Amino acid sequence: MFPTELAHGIFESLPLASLCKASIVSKRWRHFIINSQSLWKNLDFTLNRPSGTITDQVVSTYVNRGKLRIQTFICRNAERLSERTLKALRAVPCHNLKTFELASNSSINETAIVIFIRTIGSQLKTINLSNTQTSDRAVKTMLMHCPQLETLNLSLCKITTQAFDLGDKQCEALKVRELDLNGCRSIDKAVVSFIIILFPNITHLNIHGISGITTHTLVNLAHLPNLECISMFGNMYEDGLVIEDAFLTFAKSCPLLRQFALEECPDLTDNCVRHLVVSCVNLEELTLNGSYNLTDEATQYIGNYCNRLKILRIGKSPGITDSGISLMLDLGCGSLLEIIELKQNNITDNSLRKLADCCDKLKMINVNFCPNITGSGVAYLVKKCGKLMQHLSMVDCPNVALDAADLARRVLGQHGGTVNYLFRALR
Amino acid sequence: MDGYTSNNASENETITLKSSDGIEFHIDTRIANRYTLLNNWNSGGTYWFTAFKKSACLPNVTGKVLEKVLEWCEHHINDPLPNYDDDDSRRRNTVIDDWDQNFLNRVDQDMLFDIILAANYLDIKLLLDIGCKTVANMIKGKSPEELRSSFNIVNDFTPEEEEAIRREN
Repeated sequence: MFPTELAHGIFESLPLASLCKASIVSKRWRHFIINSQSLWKNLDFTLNRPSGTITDQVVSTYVNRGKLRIQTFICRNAERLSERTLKALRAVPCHNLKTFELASNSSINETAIVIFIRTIGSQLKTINLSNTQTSDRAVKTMLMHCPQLETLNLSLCKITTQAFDLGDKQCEALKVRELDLNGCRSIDKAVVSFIIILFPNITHLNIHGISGITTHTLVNLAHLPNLECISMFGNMYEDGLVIEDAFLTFAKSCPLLRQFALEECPDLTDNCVRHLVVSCVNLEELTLNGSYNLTDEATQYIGNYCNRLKILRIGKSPGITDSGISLMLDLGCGSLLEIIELKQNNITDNSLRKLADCCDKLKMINVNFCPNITGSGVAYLVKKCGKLMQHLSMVDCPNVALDAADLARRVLGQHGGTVNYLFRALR
Repeated sequence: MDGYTSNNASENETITLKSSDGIEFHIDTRIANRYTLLNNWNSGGTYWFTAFKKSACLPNVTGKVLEKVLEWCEHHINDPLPNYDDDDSRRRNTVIDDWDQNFLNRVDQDMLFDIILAANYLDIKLLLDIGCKTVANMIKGKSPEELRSSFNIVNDFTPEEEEAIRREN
């Protein structure tokens, strides 16, 4: 039998089901488990158990055990849970709940969510209701009843811009730092006007998938001086303001930016990139896939100014060539690079060789649909960087033969890395 | 008697640890520097260690156990120092590598508990974590009866009490 001073460390890493079995072993074990303050703090159903198997009954059992000790409730794949789960948490009521994550659920209706937030929202710091029936009314309830709220994930919910229009009501959620609205297709660009008033100190904002962004949207974002991460999608139409000027205003106002993502924006120019990288010296992630008008000038700016870059995605930019990649890496921005995406580009083996020579931290590379890449470039890359690489994606690379893919699989496979090499139906 | 001497340490780069049963171990200062408590001794922080003698006495750890703990430290001497800012993520992310797994599987249960206790006492966090995790893995997936037999525990519930608890679960 192990000494009591070790009991905490041992029981702490056990999944809830094992904890319950262990509580039947002896009086001593039972006393320790049932009375521990910390063992019941985190009800995390994602640990050691496929969370899709969690039922209301399981949740109720644990909630009634943990009661007021519960600070965290996490079930990110909650398809089998119903309103009874929320009712169990409400019945206690779990007023010390700080983190509440219940995602991917279509059976809990919006009224139940509203009542739940109203009852025990006072201490909530993190709410994740991604891909649920969360409504505009539920979001308004959060803004008015959760004064401690810092992180809010509403991605893939069917909410509209109105969710953030409180009218003459007071917003209590003044501490929000992170807001994820990824894939909320019913929200439009006007939401940014509400966000800059409600959450002026926000650091992370994901509005990827919000339709109709314009150059004014970007200028609006310039009102968020603490912004560190921003994610957007779609062409940025010019409504009376030139895109390059909008980038200049934005970049100068948000010097703390670490992650910038704007995908599928054909109007993006080399000068936009220049304004961004000159002012935002802390950039660690730059995602610009689908910028059809970028040329080697853009990669030169990136090479010149981004010396902290870890992630670079510049796929679907046919204007970027081997010499652009080569120059960028020669200028010294490859030393920290971990993830690079060059899919659907015109680059050749020369870029792969250059990457292999300049980047010793590469973990993931995506060269899907690159018709000019051959097995020899892939082999060179894998031999040089394969030891650290976790993923190499080569979908529809017609000139990479099977032997090169096999070599990559062998080298990466030694430490659990994976290779995606397949041909989808070629037209 | 010398129980254990680090491979690469020359005379003036070692400190001496004495186990409860009087066995002396000369360890590389690089090991001592990695762990807060040993490091405190090394810089003269506690009464166990004097700067002149460069030696410390461990009243709670036997030579057999200390030898195993130092074998583990020696193996991990070149690991990057982990960041212990966030306690929760540290616990959650502790992955036991093959060498550690093998190392802890080779010892019997009593020795395993002694190693964990020593790691706790010497404040060697990673060894403490993987040790606890190893025991947790021994508990995982077992029925209460299996747990009683593998940890040598007597069931002190009356049949009625046990029945009531099982129903509650």
